[in-house]
Amino acid sequence: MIKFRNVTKYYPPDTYAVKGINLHIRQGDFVSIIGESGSGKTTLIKLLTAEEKISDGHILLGGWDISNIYNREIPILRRQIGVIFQDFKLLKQKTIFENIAFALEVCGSPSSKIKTIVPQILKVVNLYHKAERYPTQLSGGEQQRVAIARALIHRPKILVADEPTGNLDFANTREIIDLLKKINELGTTVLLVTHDREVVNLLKKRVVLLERGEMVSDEKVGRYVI
Amino acid sequence: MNYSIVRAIKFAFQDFWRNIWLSLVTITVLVLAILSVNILVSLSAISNKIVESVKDKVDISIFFKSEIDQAQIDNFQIKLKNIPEVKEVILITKEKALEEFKQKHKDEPKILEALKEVEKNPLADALVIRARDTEDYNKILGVLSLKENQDLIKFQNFTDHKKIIDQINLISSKIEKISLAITLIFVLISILIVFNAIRVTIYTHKDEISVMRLVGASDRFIRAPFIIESVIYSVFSIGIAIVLLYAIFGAIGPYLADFLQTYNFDLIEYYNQNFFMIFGAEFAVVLLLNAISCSIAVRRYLRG
Ligand SMILES: Nc1ncnc2c1ncn2[C@@H]1O[C@H](COP(=O)(O)OP(=O)(O)OP(=O)(O)O)[C@@H](O)[C@H]1O
Ligand SMILES: [Mg+2]
Repeated sequence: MIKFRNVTKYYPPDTYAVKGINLHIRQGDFVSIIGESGSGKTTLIKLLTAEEKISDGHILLGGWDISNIYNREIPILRRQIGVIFQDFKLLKQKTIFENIAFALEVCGSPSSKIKTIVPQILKVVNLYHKAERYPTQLSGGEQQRVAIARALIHRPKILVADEPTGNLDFANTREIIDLLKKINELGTTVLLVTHDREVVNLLKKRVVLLERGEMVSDEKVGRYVI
Repeated sequence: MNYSIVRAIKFAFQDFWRNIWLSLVTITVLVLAILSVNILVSLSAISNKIVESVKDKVDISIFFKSEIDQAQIDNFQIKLKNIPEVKEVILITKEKALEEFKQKHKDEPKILEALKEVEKNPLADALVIRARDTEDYNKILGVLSLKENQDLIKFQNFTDHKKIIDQINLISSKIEKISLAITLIFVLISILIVFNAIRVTIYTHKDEISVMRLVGASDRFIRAPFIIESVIYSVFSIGIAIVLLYAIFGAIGPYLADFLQTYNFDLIEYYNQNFFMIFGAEFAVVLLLNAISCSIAVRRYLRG
């Protein structure tokens, strides 16, 4: 599904954000990426979503080598990878419904499709009853669920979460992790970047450890050891 | 694709209203630029008309000695017509001239009386020569001054309006230079203001734009509303400028007619006749300038 081959990102003059990463992620995997601050976790995600250009090596998605992707192909890539962040990135002046609908609108979906799909996805994240609220009227956990709903709207094969629970308390964190597990069980590959020891230990899934841009371990059922 | 176009247009209009003051300032400057271009167009139309009608009045009249007969006159006329610079040669026989003279003075019995005293027609056969261009008269005068020709001619009359024409050209070219400078200033300001308006719109939408990128909206879709916004500016400004121009023409029309009485020139009619050419060209230029400044703004501020 996703293959990192010798992936390196170099920021002149002397920073190797990631260096020689080799990683194979299969369809349906749930992989946590852990590591200290500055170890290159976010950089790895940015390379996967083509937000940053790869300096050396290749990333293969299915059979598609995205290491030299054209700008006009990036939207196609982004519709296949849903991404969520610590800060949700919701639009404050739009309701929950509109926030999710926006993702479809700007990609050219017909209105009829938007009207049927958005309620469906809101039910998946259990927020259908709050569709007309604004993001500021929701808890952090709920906001992150909206972001997840939006990330899933194009039915991507991969969901990438960069510290999705970084702003959340324990109860909300559990809720989000449970939701990610559920999404993974439904067949979506999940790539989770996290700092949170509890989360990793709770998950009992594959764990990749980065250190100063290099991969130092890859365990089937990892534990947070730092 | 259709959905995208409709949505891009919708987004563009939303932005237009959301930043209505900025939109109004932008359009105002564009309107001023278009108006100043049209001052230029009107002035050159007026001065062309004046110069044309002065030029039309330039001609050479030659009057033949009384002993010259019709055949000689005909010959002379053919000879003149063969000069390439000559546009037309009109024969006015002395009978016709007399007729016209009587017609002209039909209410002045004293003059008609005096005419009766003279038994023979006192007037001479004449030719009126018009050249293709005012510059050509010198050559024609040269031909007329040849001895063989002068032998036939009693006298000739050349009304040269060269000084007047030169003066009109001088004044109008001065006015055109000034209004050209004003126009250029307005065009420059418009480019900056459109550039800035698009930049502000992009700035107020930076969150939306980053979400669009995140969820995989195409670059073309992200840019489209801004380009459409610049088209909206163009359409509104040319529309408003047209309405204002006709209002201005209506207001100054009587004064202009007064000033140009003998030339019989109507600015509104001139614009009506050349409506699509003038405003089509102006719209194309405004659109082009807007699209250029908009796409520079988009390129600079829509990265990443
Ligand atoms: N645009 C950039 N220019 C230069 N260096 C950068 C840039 N982006 C990241 N880096 C460097 O690359 C390294 C990896 O950064 P990255 O953001 O991937 O770390 P991270 O593992 O996500 O950290 P955190 O846990 O704090 O989010 C850091 O040393 C960072 O300073
Ligand atoms: Mg990070």
